[in-house]
Amino acid sequence: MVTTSPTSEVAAPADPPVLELRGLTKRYGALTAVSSVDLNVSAGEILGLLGPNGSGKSTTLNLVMGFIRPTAGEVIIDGHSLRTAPRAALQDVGGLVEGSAFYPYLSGRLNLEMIARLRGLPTGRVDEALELVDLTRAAQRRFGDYSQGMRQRLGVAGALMHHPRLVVLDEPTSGLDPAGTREMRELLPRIASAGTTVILASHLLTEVEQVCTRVAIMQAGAVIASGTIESLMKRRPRWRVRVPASKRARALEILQGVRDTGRVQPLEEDLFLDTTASGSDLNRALLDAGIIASEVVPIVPTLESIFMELTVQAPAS
Amino acid sequence: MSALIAIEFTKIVRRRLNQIVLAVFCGLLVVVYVLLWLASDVVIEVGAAPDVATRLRSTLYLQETVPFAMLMLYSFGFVSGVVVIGSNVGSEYGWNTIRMLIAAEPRRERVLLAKLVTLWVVVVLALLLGLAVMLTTSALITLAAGQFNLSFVDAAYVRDSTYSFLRLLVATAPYFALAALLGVVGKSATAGIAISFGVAFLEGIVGSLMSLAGGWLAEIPPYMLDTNADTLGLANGGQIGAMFGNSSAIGQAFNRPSLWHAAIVLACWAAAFMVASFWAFRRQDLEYQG
Repeated sequence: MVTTSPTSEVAAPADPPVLELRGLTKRYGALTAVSSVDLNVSAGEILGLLGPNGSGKSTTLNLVMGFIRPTAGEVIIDGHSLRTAPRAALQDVGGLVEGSAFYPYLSGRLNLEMIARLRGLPTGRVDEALELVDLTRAAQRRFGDYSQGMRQRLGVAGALMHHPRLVVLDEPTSGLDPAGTREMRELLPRIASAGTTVILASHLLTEVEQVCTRVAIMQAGAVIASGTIESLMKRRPRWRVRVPASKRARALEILQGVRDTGRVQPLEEDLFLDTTASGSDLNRALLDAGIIASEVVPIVPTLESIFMELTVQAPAS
Repeated sequence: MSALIAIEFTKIVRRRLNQIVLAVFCGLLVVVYVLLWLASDVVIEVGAAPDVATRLRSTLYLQETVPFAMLMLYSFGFVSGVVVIGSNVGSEYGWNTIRMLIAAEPRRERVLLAKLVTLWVVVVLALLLGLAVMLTTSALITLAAGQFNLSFVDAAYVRDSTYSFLRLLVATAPYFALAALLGVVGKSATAGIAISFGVAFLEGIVGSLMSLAGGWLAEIPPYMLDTNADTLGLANGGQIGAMFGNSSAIGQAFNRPSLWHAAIVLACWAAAFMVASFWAFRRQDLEYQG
């Protein structure tokens, strides 16, 4: 597995961070769900939080929202510790983590009105929020009668209603139809351009790639890589080489000997390798050993390929 | 805090379950009165046990009905209160709405305090409504029997009735607090309701067995819930109080404590359950329940 030093990349030092996670840890008995996570998120950033199921994304977001208590470490929002000053810390935070939560027997509007009242907002904000998520016409219907997509949209409305400085969204497009998904994708940069910081946890890597300015990849409770999408893409280039099956073992040995080459992985008919060597260098090395490659192809990295490389166990040779 | 209480009140009043419980509670009280009146009518007509029938009927008349009404509230009110409190506390976890509340008001103790205060006030109002329903039913029965007059209503009557109601509140308070605690700790309505009933039922049996066992075991029930709650419940007098209360043979057999002792012990239990609720709520993780 390619390793990335998270500590060298986690900080976004330009602005004072809106959110700081310091050694954040959550244990459930013997299970460590989140392990010493350090992460800074600056104003106006859209941070994509990626990771396979069980990697600790939702637990981290639950910790940020104050729903669960850390075993160790600290969450600091706008300079306020969530532990010692929860009210001040969460005043300008809106979140939709793991699904929307409203009273099923009350209308969508009344549910939002309750949040508005708790936050001391004028009722005009309720109308604004309903309009934002296109639920004005369904506002009088009971939340329990809403479809999954409508519930999710109402959750987003509740999270954004008080114009928070930090928005935490966990799979916000879950349950949305394609049009709703596109609207959500368009909404996120819009709210970020107004100075709102967004943390977006999602399995949809293309969605993250399109809207996020920075990503943090989690696995087994830890942040294993973090940085801008461009910086992650500028990792060592990857190549695919196809040689006759009878020569594959020999080709693997040859390619491993090429300067500045990392691991070489055989997968089906191909060999995959990370190297800074050029395609002609690889071809020449193989030709010198009497092996003719039918294909030497550079692999253009995508967020998905980087994610898979970092989080999925390498296939057995 | 006022916003939190207003929200809690809105939620409680608009919830269908609460409306149904209130309707059933009041309906049952009316049914009990009507059935007892009809039963006494039949007994009088048949001519069997005329004393019992007359005593039963006089219990239903307005001038004597308050002790009986309090006993009805003690049983039906207890059940309804536990259902409403356990359900309204526990459902917040099942619906994940507790997370919504905490996101908007992270000071958890205020959220729980507003909820418990509002629930208790609503339950007390429901008990008063139940009392009003029974008094109205009793007045109609008294009127139908041609016995209606209000000459018995004086300061002493009002004072005694108020004390009776206060005794009822103290007797039920720890059970309501227990329902809230179990709703919080169990993070579900089922835990809040079912375990509270289980505790109330089993504790009564265990306490009775300990009293009957004698020796040091018999010294424990006066510090438990059931013995003290019954002491206050039966202290409201009336014929049932006379049969089972402190001064009765049964009451003496069970070594019932004094009223003050009962009130203090129950208040201590209620306070302990409340403190435990706040302690648990402040510390607990509010995971999403799918």
